[in-house]
Amino acid sequence: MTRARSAAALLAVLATSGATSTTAAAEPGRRPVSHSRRAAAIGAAIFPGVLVHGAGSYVVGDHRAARRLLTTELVGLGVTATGAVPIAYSGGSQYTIAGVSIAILGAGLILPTWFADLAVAAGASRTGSPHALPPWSLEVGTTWLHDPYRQRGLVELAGAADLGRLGLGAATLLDADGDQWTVEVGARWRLYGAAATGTSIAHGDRLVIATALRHHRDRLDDVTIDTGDFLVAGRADLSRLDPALAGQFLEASAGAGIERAGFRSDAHDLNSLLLGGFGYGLYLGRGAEVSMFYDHRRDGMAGGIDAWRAAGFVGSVGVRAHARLAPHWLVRGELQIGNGWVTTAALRYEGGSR
Amino acid sequence: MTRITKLNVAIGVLRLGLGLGLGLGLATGCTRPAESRAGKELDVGTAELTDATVTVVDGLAAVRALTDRHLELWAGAPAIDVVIELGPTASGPWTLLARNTLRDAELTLDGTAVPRVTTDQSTLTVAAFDLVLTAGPHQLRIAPPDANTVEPFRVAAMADIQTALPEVDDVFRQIDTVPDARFVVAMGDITQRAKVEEFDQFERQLETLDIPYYTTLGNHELWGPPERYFDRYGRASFHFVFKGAAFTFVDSGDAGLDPIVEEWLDGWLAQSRDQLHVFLTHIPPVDPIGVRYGSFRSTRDGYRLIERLVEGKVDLALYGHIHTYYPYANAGIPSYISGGGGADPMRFDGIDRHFLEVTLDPGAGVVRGVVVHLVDNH
Repeated sequence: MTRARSAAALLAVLATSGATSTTAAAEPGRRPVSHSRRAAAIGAAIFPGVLVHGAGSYVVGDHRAARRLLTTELVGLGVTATGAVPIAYSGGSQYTIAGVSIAILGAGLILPTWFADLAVAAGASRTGSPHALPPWSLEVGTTWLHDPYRQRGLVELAGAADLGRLGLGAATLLDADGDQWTVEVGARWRLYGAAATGTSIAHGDRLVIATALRHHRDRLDDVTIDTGDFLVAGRADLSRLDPALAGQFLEASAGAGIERAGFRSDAHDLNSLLLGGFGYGLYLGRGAEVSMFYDHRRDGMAGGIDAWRAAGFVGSVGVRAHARLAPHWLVRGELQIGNGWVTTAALRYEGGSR
Repeated sequence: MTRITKLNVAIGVLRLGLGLGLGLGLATGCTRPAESRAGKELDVGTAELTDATVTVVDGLAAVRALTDRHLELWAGAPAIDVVIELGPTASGPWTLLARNTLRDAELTLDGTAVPRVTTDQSTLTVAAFDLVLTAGPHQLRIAPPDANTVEPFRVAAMADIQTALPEVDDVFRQIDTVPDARFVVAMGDITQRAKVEEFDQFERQLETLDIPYYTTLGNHELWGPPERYFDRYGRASFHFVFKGAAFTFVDSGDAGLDPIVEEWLDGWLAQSRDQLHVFLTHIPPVDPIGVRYGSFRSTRDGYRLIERLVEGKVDLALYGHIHTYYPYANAGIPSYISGGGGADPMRFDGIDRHFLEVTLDPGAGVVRGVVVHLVDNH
């Protein structure tokens, strides 16, 4: 029950809309939507929907979903303001900067609700259902890094295994020319959500606490960076908000880390990291999904976007997707854009019975 | 009519996702936002008209005007060298107005001293000269007599004026009281929006400052076209040596260094490896309060810069951008964030408007002291 309450805390904002756990399949008798109405809905979702989330859903007749999307957007605005106003008032004081995490969580309610409205308007929701994480997996892939200083092709090897609620993982990225290597080990504890069976599940909601240690060496920069971080991360199906939003999910995370940068002269610096992000995605069926995300951390390969005059304060954005080729085989792709472009294509084998 | 199937929807969604991703990428993913700006810096300090070309060595001054036998410069360093090449129709009497110069700056023309003249524009930092130039090349040098004498001296350092332009004269008047301060080094953000009227106001306020103001640009100067800054104040990335101490300014206005600027920096670091060396840029490569990210947009690039500064044996690093005062260290290099020019001051930090007094001893190769001066608010 305690874990259930923890998950409920993550979903508290959604709960303000009186969400229920009804699934799309449980809502019979939906009227078909004509092409002209669909086009009008997409237009409404773009404008005024960019400001008034739910406008597209309203036009297609999902009035309750529209109201709940708008309510969630307003809650998100409030949460963002709660985090951002003290920062703005204090001029970025170290005593208020933790509000960035709150602001990110708020943004994680604002942007995804717009995307969700677009999806409902376009008829792209209700396309698939979630799958649980696999009991174990092995992945091999390639990553291309393009940033102001580096054009690198990297080989990625990763593995993960779940032992009950405990998940363990390790990954490495190696530059083909030996200019960079990164090794990471991590562990997570599942507070809430389905066990790692790899099978189709009713809801993809989950809440985990995770920790990771990373060693990164850049031979040309002559810098070694060791990082330790701690993160709380969760996913919530938007069907919790309204059945019309089935097949969509949002994600959010918050955490902190510490890094040690070592230089050639044996000098080193210690510094802190603020971690956080949000995402929005769609289940596509057969275990496939696509999502867009914002990642606030700046210490990865992507760094932060050149966000015009806000450069330096903003993290990276990206899109990731995976699709199942065969019962145990998936292909995964990811594009992350910040200071650099990081493109990954990988093949994953998932263990367990299906 | 095409049936809407799950497969069609899935393909549509994938297209939507890829489209959004690529669109977002194209909109935001330019990895070298400062590349063209760096290229434009190379034009600083050059001008020509019929039968006359002017080249300021290393771009250490902006050519504000080159008209019929009149040259006007804004110096970006205490000692500047200028090459003027004239054809027959441009020879004769010329006037030279050198703005933002030291009060004891002298002009030598092809090795011969040229006396200052007094004009209605002359001030402590604006020097006027009448000279006669014949056809052919000429070497001009504007510098104080002790520019190459290695001995201790003081400078003031500040950044982040922005919305406080109307009252920055308070800061300048207090800098004027620092004994023997030779010039101000500044880490950018003169203006809030890089408007012409803001730059005009800044120059009116500079009339209250008795010493020149050498600066790089900040992210707020990028609200306008970079030429607006370059045409007035010269390069944002430059290097000079004064009395045996090297000063290197680099443009980090986009929260990073363009590789072109990094290449220049590598050269300047190699040149001055054995000299007392002060490094200045607007945005700190790494924020001492890391969770704030008031720093380079890539932490890895921030550390890449710090490694270069360490290997280049930089003795002091000065930054702005964060509107407070932090003394800290970058891999052992004494580093200061001093964003006390008056813009939206940080609260709860116990410090408001301020500037730094920096005492350098190039002979001994040490920074003798960095003292914070608080500026009273009205």
